[in-house]
Amino acid sequence: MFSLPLLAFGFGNLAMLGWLAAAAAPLLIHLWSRHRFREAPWAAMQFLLAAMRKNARRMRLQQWLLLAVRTLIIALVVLAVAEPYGDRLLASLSGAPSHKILVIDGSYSMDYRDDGASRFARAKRAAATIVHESRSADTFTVIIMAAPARTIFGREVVDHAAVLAQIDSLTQPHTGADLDGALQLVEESIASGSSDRRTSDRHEVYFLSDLQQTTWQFNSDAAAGNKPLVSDRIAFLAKQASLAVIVLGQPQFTNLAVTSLAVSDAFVTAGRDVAFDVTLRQFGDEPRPQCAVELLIDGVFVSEHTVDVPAGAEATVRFTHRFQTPGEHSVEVRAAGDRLKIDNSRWLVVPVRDEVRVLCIAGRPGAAKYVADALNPNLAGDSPIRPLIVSEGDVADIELSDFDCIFACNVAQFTAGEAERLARYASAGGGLVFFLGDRVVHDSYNALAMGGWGRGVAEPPVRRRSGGSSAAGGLDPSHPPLLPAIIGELVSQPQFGLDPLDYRHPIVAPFRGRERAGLLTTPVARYFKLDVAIDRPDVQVAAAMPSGDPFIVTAPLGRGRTVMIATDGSLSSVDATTGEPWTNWPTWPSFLPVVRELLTYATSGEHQLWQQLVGTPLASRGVPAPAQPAVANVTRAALNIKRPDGHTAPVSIQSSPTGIEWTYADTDLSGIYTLLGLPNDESQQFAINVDTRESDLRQADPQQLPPELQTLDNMKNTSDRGGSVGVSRAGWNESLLWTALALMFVESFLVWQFGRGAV
Amino acid sequence: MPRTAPNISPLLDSQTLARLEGLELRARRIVEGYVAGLHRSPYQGFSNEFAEHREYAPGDDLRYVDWKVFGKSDRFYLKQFEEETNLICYLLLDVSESMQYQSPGASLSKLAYGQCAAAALAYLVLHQRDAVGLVTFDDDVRQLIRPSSSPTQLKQLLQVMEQTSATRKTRTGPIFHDLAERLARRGIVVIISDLFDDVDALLAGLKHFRHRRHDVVVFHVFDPAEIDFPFQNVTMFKGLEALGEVVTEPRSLRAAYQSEIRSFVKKVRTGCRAQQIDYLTIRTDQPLDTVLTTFLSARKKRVK
Repeated sequence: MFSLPLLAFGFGNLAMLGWLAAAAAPLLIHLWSRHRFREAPWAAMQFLLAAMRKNARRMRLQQWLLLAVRTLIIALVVLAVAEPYGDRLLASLSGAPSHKILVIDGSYSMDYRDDGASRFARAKRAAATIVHESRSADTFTVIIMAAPARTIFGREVVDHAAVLAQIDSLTQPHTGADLDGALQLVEESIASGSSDRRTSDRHEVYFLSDLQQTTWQFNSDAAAGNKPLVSDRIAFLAKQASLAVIVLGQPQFTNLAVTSLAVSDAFVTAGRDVAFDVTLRQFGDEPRPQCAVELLIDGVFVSEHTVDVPAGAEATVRFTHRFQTPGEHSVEVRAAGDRLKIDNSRWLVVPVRDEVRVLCIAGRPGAAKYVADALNPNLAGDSPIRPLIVSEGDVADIELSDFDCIFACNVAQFTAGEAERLARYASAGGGLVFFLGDRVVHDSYNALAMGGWGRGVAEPPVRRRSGGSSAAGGLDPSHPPLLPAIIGELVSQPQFGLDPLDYRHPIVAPFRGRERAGLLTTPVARYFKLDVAIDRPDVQVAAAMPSGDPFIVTAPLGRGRTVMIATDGSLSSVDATTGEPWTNWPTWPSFLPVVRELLTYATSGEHQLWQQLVGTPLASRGVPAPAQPAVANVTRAALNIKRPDGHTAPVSIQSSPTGIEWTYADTDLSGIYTLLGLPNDESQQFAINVDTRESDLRQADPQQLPPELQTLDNMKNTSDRGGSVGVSRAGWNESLLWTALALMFVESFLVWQFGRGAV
Repeated sequence: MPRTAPNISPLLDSQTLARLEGLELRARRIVEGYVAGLHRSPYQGFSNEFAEHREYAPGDDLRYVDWKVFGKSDRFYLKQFEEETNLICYLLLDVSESMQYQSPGASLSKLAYGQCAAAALAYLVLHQRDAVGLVTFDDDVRQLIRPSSSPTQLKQLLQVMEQTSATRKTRTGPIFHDLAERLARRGIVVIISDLFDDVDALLAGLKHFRHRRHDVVVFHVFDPAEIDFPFQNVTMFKGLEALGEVVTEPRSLRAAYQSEIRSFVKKVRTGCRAQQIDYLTIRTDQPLDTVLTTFLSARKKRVK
């Protein structure tokens, strides 16, 4: 059972405690001296006996008092040498109130049940015990070390009952643990206390954690860049407070987690089979045979598979399902329960369409042919992709929102009205892909790239990532850049091959390991040099020319995405000097997969928002107000989020120059979040999943922790390290030695007082 | 005319006396070396028959200066007469076992110191032709020498005192009652003892002496250790006079013990004063001549 005094107390040099036996020396000397005396004849015996008779009790008391003081002196010196740590006793001796900072690990690994109760429940109990055994003047700060870490109670709290109630009401988040953030909050708490002179300067920090390696790993400190290292933070804190880690976990564990759930096809359409690939991983040394995995669609059980998961390895399960109706559907896979259930489920929100409609705007006849063929080579086939080729002039009559993606192929220019429509379309979640070509009007495109196209005025140039003289304008908040890059000079240089830039971008990522798929030999003879503004960190270069010039550039726009390709998507753009097309890429093997990936990427902008990790705020992107009338028309009270735990919470709505934005930050649980209150009783689902790095329950080695941290094992109730002495221990030593010195003076005084003549 | 305080001769301190063999020598050294001449004898008798001349010493009564001899020789001589003594001095010396105590820091035991004092007084008294007797006692009367002014009396007294052995307990009360009855002639009773006995019985005995019209003088003898209790370490105190033994830590007991002693002395002193008994506390590390001089000087003032 948990015992606090041992919990917050220990010795750095346990072997020295053997010398505590020396504390018996005064008693032994006393007893020995009773048998080692000198003899003296004495005449005035009757007076001596009378004095003894009258003072026997006092003398006995004095002797015991002196013995106690002498014993205590030796004991204190031995204890000081034994390097004690923990401040509770010291605090109680000093009588000064303490500021106790309870940092409770809120990562979901704390839900692991070693022996019935979860580690999180034990952490709460331990925290409650600390509060229970504190003095009434002590103040508390309660921090939950989730991701992000947050302060539950500030230090002004002295009402123990309120603290206990708050601790009791804590629920297990499904996030990871942000140790650095928690340390920062501890620093702030101490700093705020230092400015408050009413409170004590004694700070005790208790980390109640399972000491999971993912959280307490210090090797990655170097990657923190210019942020203070976690170990430095701990060293800094140790100068102001005593630090103790109360370990609530056991090194032995076994845990199964669903690490991924993915849909096999880029587009899910009604009436077609779609596969869901589920990956399970068994952490620990024991295999997991015959593990049952269930598939639930919209909360309804659909099918089940069993799978053997080897120890320390992964296993995959594939479910096949056919959606009958279009719309959003929630998908859940659930593995049979183990000691940590939070990571046994995973969710996905799948938009199911009747078909994928793609609008291909051809700048000249044939300019969109290759793209449309790449999207669906056989219109009579069963491909769900339905490309529609239109000319520039037809765009005005087409309702863009009927399409999932728009490919602009060698379109000469866009009017302000067209640009406005395209911007609305993309902001609402649509995808825009721009292939350039010989018809492209340089300045018209750049006006779209710089923003401010609504005014029809190009802004002065700003710095760009690559060279060139083209202008890049300051952004007009009401008219964000429609294109991800500025079009620069035309480069005529036959080159073969594209630089996939380590296949980091999703568009080229499928080519990783497939070097012979043609991407690396793509022929491009003529292209526009694209300049990416350095003040747009959301712009990414998916692939580049061998010379380093960007070839495929992407950027988000509202809830949608825009993609720009530096050359033509057909053979219709011809170099007048050579008579050769700008590129033969449309005939190259890499063209079809790249176009398919362009479609997938461009249309999945909104889908990305639907799948998030725990702790990531849900939000709408900056949307021009007219572009999202559904949101613009709702009121603050109407929009609510229904959480996985069944509770409904309001979202935060803000009006901004770009339109209406809503956010909901408290995504601390995994599961399906549903945005309610949209017009026409519509709703929007979001799948929030755990970051399964937290599923690996391996513990950090206590010996590798910074020496300032005292590790106290709650399971054994003993200290499991004999490390060096931290600041808090030094305080102990000093206090003990000062006390011993004071007792020496007391002893001398008592001897003088007891022995001095009163006659 | 006030006298200046006499300087203490180093020859007369207790350590010096301790080095001298024989009580007679000690007594003579005490009396002749210092006491005589300083004080007029309180024990003077009266007689008309001339005996001899003695050279004048400062302090002698000028009434007895022989002016004729002065006229002839320019020197002062005193006329001394064959006296008929009318003074009897009884010396009561405690020879109980407790009187044998001598602490490491003391030169003489209480008994030896008391013997010196008794011898010196006897010498003084006999020197003035008065009669002196001696009683040694513990829980009974051990020796009783009848008073006499014979020159051989001193030798007899000294011999008795030197042969005394202190081995028994004190019982002052009954002894004093007994002696008060037995010492029929009125005189000066000088008691030299540590008085380690029941105080009430002691005072009752002293009262009996006073009732018999004796002039009583009490020399209350202490060893310095009995007053200061200087012991430091754990000590087993073995009680004399069969009072058992006890082990104790003396430092913590010092104050209480000294309080007991102080109370005891106060009680005895108060009792003596109530009965007009001369009472003097003596430490055995005090020079005996000083003690006697102080006592005799104070007594002379009171007798005047």
